[in-house]
Amino acid sequence: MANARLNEMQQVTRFLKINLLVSPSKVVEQDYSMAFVKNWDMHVVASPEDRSTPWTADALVRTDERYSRFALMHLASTAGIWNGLGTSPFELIDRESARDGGIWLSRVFVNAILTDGLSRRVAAKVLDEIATATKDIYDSKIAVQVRGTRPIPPDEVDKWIDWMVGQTFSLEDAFLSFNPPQSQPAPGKLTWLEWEQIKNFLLFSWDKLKVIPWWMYVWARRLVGRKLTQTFQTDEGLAQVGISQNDPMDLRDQRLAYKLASIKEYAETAKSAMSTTDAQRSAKGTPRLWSNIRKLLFGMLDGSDLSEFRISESEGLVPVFSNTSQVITDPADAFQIPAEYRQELRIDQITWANIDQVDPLINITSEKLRAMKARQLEINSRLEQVNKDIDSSEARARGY
Amino acid sequence: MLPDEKLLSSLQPIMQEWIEEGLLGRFLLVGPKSIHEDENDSLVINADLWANGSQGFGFYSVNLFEQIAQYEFEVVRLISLRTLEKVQKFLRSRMHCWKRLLLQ
Repeated sequence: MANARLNEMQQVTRFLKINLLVSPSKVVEQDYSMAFVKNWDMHVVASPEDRSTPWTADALVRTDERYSRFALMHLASTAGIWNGLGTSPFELIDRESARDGGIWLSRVFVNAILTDGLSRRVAAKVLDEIATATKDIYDSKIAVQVRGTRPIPPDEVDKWIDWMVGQTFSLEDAFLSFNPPQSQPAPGKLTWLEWEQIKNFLLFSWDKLKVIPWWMYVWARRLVGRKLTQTFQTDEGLAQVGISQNDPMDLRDQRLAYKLASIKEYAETAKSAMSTTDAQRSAKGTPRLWSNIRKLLFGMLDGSDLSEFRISESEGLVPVFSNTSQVITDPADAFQIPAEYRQELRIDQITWANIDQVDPLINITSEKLRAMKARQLEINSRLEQVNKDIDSSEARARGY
Repeated sequence: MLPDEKLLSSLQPIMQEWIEEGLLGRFLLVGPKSIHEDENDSLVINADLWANGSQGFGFYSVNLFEQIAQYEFEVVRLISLRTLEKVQKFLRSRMHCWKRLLLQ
C-alpha cells in the first residue's frame, strides 16, 4: 500500500504557468501593471536590447516580421519546445522563489540553439527516421529534401519500379534475363525412291523377325523361372530362379529418363531459390552487374547521377523514391492478419519468416472476392429486372 | 496560449517553417478563437497540433484536455505569449475567459 502511494506521488505532473510578455525595441511608456496578474507562477519579459550592430536576433526589433521571429524565439525557449531540448530553463527555478513577485528577463543566445547541440540532435533524429524503411525520407516534418530531386508521387511508384526491374534485367547484355533455347526448325522430309521404301520395309521386317526366336527363348525361360520361383521360393524367398522377369530399358528410353530426372532437379533448385533469402540464392553475376544495380538503386533513392540509365533532369529535378521500403525489402516488415481471419489461420501476422503461410490467406480472400463478385452480379441482374419492370409499368401507365 | 489573433497569425507561418526545418518539437497551440463557452456555459478549449493528418502535415484542431489526458506528462508548461503593446486591449476584451482557465 505504501509503495502504491509512493508510485502515485512519483507520477504527479508538474504544472508550470508562465506569463511571457514580449515587446519591441520601442515601447510607449505607460502602466503595464495589469499584465502582471497574480495567477501565474512567473512573469517573463522578453525585450530586445540596444546593440551596436543589427546582426543579432534581439537588436533593432520593430513591429515587423523580425518581431514575430523574435517573439517565437523567446516562446520556444521559455516553453522548451526547441527540438530535442525538452526542458524550459524556467523549470529549473524554484517555484516558491519565482512567485515572490519578481519579473524574469528572458535572454536567448541564438548560437546556443543553432550550434552543434541542435544540429546534432536534429541530424540524429533525421538519420533515425531515415533508417526506418517505412517512413518517407522526404517527409516534410523531418525535412531532408535533397536539392534537385523530385519525390515520385505514390501513383507513379509501380511504373518506376517496373522500369527499374526492366533496367536491371537488361544490364550486362541482359545477363539476368531468361534466354530460351533457340528452337530448331523441323527437319525436311526425305525423298525415297520406290525400291528404297521396299528395301527399308524389308530391313525393318527382318530386324523384327530375326529377334522373334530370341524373345521366344526369353519368354520360355521366364515362364519356367517364374513357376520354379513361385513353387520353391515364393515371393518372400531368398532367391529368384532363372533370368530377370523385367525387360531391360531401351537405350533411347534410358536417355530420356536421365534427361527428365535432371530437368526435375533444376526445377526443384529454381523453386527453392524463389522462396529463400537473397544470400542463399544461387544466381551468379559479374562485379560490374552488381555495382550497376547498386548505382541504379541508390540513385533512385538519393538522386545521384543516373544519366547512364537515361534518367535526365526534368525542369532541373530528378525523380527519387520517397520511401526506402518502396524499393528495398524491409526484413522487419509484417502484415497484420485481419482479426476475422486470425482464428481460422491460427496466425496473427505474416512476416518474411513465415511467408509460406500466405497461401491460405490468399485462398480465403480470393474465395470471398469470388463470392462478392457473384453476389454483385446477382444484385445487378436483379436491379436490371427491377428496372425493366419499372419501364414496363410506366409504359402501361402511359397507355401503350 | 496566444490570445492575440494578429500575433498568432503572424507567428503561424514561422512556426510551420521552423517545424519543417526540424527546429521545433511538438506542442499544443491555443489561440483566441480556440476558447469559447458553449450553450451550457461550459468552457470549451481547442488546440492546434502539428500532425500528419488527412490533408498531410499541418495544424489540426484537437480538444486540449483530451490530448493532455491521453498521455502521462512529467511537466505541463502553460505559456501565455502576449505583446506589451496589446496587453491593455486584450485584458479588457477576453480577460474573463482566460482568468477562468487559469483559475481552473
